[in-house]
Amino acid sequence: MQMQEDDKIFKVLGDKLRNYEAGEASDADWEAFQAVYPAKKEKKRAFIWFLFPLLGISLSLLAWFTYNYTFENKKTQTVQNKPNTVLSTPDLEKTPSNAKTKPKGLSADSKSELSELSSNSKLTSQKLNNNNLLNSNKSKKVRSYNQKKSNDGNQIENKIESKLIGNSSKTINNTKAHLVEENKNIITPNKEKNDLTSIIPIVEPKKDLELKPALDPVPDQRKTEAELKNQISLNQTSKNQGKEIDLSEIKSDVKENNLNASDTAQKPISEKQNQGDSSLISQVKTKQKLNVNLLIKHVDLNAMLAPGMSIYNQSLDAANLAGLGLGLAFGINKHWYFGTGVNYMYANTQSKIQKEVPHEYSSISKIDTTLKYDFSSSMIVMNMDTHYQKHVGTKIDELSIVRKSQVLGIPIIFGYSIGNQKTELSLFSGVQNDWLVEEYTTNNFATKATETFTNQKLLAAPLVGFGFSRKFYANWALNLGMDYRHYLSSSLDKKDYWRVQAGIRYHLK
Amino acid sequence: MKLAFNEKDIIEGCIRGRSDSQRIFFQYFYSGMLALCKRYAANDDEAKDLLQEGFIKVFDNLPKFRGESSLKTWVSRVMVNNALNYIKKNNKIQFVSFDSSSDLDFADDAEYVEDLEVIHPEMLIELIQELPAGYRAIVNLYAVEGFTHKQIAEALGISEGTSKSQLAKARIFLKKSIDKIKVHADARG
Repeated sequence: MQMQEDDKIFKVLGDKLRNYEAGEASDADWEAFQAVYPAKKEKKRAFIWFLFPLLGISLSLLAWFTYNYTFENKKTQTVQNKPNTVLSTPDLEKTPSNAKTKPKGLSADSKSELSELSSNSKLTSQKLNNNNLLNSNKSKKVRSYNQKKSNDGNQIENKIESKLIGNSSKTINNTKAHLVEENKNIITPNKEKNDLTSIIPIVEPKKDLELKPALDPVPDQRKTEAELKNQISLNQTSKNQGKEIDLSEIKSDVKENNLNASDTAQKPISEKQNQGDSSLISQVKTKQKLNVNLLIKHVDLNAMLAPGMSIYNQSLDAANLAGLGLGLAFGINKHWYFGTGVNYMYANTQSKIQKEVPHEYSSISKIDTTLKYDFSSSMIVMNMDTHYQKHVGTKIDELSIVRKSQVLGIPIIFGYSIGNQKTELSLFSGVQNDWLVEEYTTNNFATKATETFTNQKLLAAPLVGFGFSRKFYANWALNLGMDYRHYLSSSLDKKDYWRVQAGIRYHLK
Repeated sequence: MKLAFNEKDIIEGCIRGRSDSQRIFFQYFYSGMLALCKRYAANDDEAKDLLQEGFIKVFDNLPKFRGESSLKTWVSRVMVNNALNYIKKNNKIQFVSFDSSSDLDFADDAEYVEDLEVIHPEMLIELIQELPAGYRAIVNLYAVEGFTHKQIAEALGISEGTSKSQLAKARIFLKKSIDKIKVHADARG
């Protein structure tokens, strides 16, 4: 310092202010600061850790849909191969007649689909053997439509629709006489209807079928026959060349036709049709419920213990958390499964720590005198002096810290299980997403001051573990497991934990 | 209430972003740094703003602390730099030209020194806060932080001569303020 010797004013001023401290930080000061600084950082971290559960949920949804979709397809195929096990309900039987009574609902797409289906005569003949029931049934709808149209004098429409029918077994270039001949056979006995519905195994909800707006049921009469022919042939060639007929698709078409008919004609849906639709919906719902139930392999209810878990265990005893967990396992196949759930753990611990507070040095001179009086050796005096000052210069102040720790966790695991019907051993790995909350209450015995603050963190930890289960009654089993996890957060003093769990398991599969 | 302060652990905790460590750090340095900020600020609200900004810079730059000086010295330096930046950024340095050397009279300093000894530091801070921003910064840097005029000139972007002249002016301001306090105290008996 190059302060002038005689500039004592600033020297005194500096000495007085240099070590001056202006008040202590209150909770409000800290909270105000936290609102500006650490909150931003914690939010960033929270957002990052939030991604893990999000990823987990996305994966689980993906797994669920993938599996469900595969399962549905398998189920459909199985049922189609067993026509005798069919649900032939009166509602379904009424469907073709509905189509017959509301022919206006045949949209362009439906027509083209019918024509596409019809064009695949090879498979049709294989599946329906000699009588070509399917085509006849479709012909019925279209014929009735044609009849109505012809009554209205729509000759062109009649021709085109007839060609649609004719296309099922013959080419577009059939003669008009042939079409007329075929139209004479429009009215078919109800037996055919019944036969068809008995063949149709089950109504599959066609989820991906787009409900396109129906075309004007009365085609534009200005269109020439050639244009319409061209349209039909385009529809045939572009869409379903070489496609096999799916019976469920046909029924969906029929259903769609009914819906379109009601929409287009703006007529009230008949009571019968309502019954039919609601019946179909209820069948579909029942089937979906069955599928969901079948997906779940087992349900676990566990008691769990995680020793030593803590955000902040520096100089404090670690908390031994205990809690409950509910888990679900979805079977991917015989051995592999996907598991998730939720668990909650809690601990309440109390610790005591010591606090050092600078002490007044008012009695140092007296100490020196005493020591010099007691000891003749200066070396001893010096040593004792140091020791004595250390001891006297600090005051022991005791604090009690009560800490409540809570963890809400969502594990997402993939596992592999082996065993027989009674016992099962599984190995698993995955990610544990935890929301860890710790509330500290400090109580200063000297000042009687009490202070509370809370820490909370979203944490993610990769984990590995194993479990063992043994059935004891029907579908019920006892299970015991352990997992080891490593938290990725750098803000934890201790990052590696293990957890044991024991509970009951209910097998659904 | 200040909790036990284990410097190494707390620094590490703050670097990791642990709010509990940051809280202890904040509480530990709060009072000293608040006094520092008050000296550079015009009022207490401005001082608290400076303090918050200063702590943010401290936490952000804590990984750069290499232990070459004491932690308190390092934190104080960050706070001072922050305060100076604030003053410069807000164009608060307005210097008054000094044209008389007669004011550089140290003859009666002894009397003022005695007065200063008995004035409470909080009141001294209030006296400093009453100074114009330019004087205030120079008085703080010179008297409290121990800067030379050359260092002050570099820190504030002024010439050494300006630093000297402004310090002398500040000295006169301070003396006048002390006189006012004395008169006020005498009036109260």
